[in-house]
Amino acid sequence: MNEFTVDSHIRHRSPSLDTIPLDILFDIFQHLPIQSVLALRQVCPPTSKSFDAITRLRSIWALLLRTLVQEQNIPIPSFDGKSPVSVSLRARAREIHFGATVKDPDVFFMEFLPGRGNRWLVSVAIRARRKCIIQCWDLTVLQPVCIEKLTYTDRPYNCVVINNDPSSPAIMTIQSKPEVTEILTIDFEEKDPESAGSTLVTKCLTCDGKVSIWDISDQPYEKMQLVSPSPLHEYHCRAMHLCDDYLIIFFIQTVELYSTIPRPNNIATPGVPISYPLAQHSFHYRIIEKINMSEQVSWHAARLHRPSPINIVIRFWPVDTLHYFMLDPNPVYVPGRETSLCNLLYLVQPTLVHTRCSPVWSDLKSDIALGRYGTMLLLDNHDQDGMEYGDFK
Amino acid sequence: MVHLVTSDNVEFVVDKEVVERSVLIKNMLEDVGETDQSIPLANVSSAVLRKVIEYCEHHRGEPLPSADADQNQDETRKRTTDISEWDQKFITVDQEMLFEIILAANYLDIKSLLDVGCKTVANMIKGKTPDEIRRLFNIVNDFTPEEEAQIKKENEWAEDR
Repeated sequence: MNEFTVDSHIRHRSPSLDTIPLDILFDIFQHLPIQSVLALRQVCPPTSKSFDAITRLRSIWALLLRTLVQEQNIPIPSFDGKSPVSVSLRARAREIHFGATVKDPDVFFMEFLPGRGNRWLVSVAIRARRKCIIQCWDLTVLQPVCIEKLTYTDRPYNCVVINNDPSSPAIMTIQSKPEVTEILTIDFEEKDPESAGSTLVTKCLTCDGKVSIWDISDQPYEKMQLVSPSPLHEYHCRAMHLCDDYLIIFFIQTVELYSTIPRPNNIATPGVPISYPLAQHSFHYRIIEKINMSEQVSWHAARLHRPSPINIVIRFWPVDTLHYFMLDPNPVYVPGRETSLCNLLYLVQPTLVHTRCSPVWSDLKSDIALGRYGTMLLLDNHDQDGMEYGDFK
Repeated sequence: MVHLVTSDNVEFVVDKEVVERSVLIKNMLEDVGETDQSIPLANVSSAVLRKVIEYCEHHRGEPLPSADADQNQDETRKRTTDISEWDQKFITVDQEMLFEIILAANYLDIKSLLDVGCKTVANMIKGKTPDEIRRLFNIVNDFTPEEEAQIKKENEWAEDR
C-alpha cells in the first residue's frame, strides 16, 4: 500500500487529493459515479500517482456494482442479488451439476442459444435405432429443466445449426436427410413479437458441395447460390460465418467473402441468382478439418458500429500444427453501407497470430472451443491432462 | 475535562463527552483512566483541532457508531452524498483545510467527520472532466500523449453514445 501513499506522519507539504493516503482516497471514491472514477483514472499516469491503481481495485467495482446497479434494482442477468463472486461460483456449481444431470454418452452437440442472457442450452443426442433427441434446457433454475423435447426416429442425423440471430423465431435448423432440412422454433415463455426474418445457408452433399442461401422469414425459398472460383475438389466448406448481409466461407484451401443480397445475374440464366465472392484468399496448404471461428467481443467496435475481429483456429495438412489467425476488419469499411466490392467488412487475408505444435495421433479425439474474449480450449485424449486452456492472443 | 496538545504546542481543554467522539482518544482514555496529563496529538495543528472540536461540540450527544453497527452504517453512508446543512457550512473551508480536516478525522478516528470530508471532495469531483479535476486540485498532467490516448480508449465503453 505504501507505494501508493504519502504517509501522513512524514508529509512535508500541504495535503491534497494526490497526496492523501490510499484508504482515504478509497473512501472518497466510493461516493463517486462511474464516470467520475474513470475521469480520475485519466488525471495522472499510473506510474506517478495512486488514482490509476485505485480505479482498478476489484473492491471499488464491486462496490459500484452494488450501489449503482443492484441497489437501484437494475436487473443483471442471472445475478439474482448475489455478488459476482458467488454468481461465478454458483454458475460453476450448476455447470458441474448439469454435467451430472445430462450425463448422457450420446449427447454430442451442446450449444447455448445466442443472446437471451445465455439462458437456454440446446443438446442433441443420438440413440440406438437411428433415434435423435433434441432438447432445450432452461439454466436459470438450480436444476436445469428441459422445456422442449423433439424426438426423431428412423432418420439419420446430419447436422444441427443454431441461428446466430437471437431475434429470429427460427432458432435452429436440422438436416436429418440430405434432402430434408427443417427449421425449428422453440416456444419460450417470453416470445419476442418483433422477431425478424433470417437467412439460412446450406451446403449440398450430393451436388459437389453447392452452397445456397435461403430466406426463411415466411415461405422459405432459395434466395441465391454461391459459386466459388475454386476447383471443384476444393469446393468443400470447412466453416461459415454469417452475419448481417455478408457470409465468410472457408473452403478446403480458400477463404471467401460473399454478399448475401441477391443481385440479378449479368448473363440471364434460369434458376436462382448466382453470387461470386467479393474477395478471396488462397492458403498454401489444405485445411484438414473443421475450423473454429469466433467473433471477438470489442466495445470499441460495437460503439462505432464496426465489425469486430474474428479469431480463427485452423489445422492444415500435412503438418501437425494449429494455426491461430485473426481476420481483421477493413479499416476503410463504411458502417451502414451495403457490403460490396468497394465496401468490404474484412481484409480477407487472415493475419497469422501464433502457431503451436499439436500432433495428430491415429486414435486421437480432440475438440477446440474458442471464447468470445480470446480464450481457446483444446480438449484431446492423447496426454494425461487431456485439456489445455490458453489465451488466444 | 481532557487536555490535548497539538503539533504546534497549543493546549486545548475539552469536555470528555465532546472529545470522546474521537475513537482514538476514547480508547486512550479508557486505557490510561482518569488523568490530568495532556494527550499529545502530533499530527494535528491547532487550527485543525479547533475545527474538529467545533464539529464534535455541535454533534455532542449524538449516538456514536458502535462496532457492530459498522456494517449497516457503512451501507447507508455509501448510498448518499447528502450532507446536512450545518455540516455543509462547517466544511466550507479552503482546500488545504478540507484535506487537513479529513486527515485529522482519519487519525483521530471520527467516522462521521471523515465521511463529511470525503463526501465533500466527492461532490467537488462529480461531473468534472479530467482537466477540470487537475485544475481544481492543482495536479500536474504528466501523461505522455500515448498514455493519455491509451487510457481514453480504455474508458470508451462508459461514454455516452
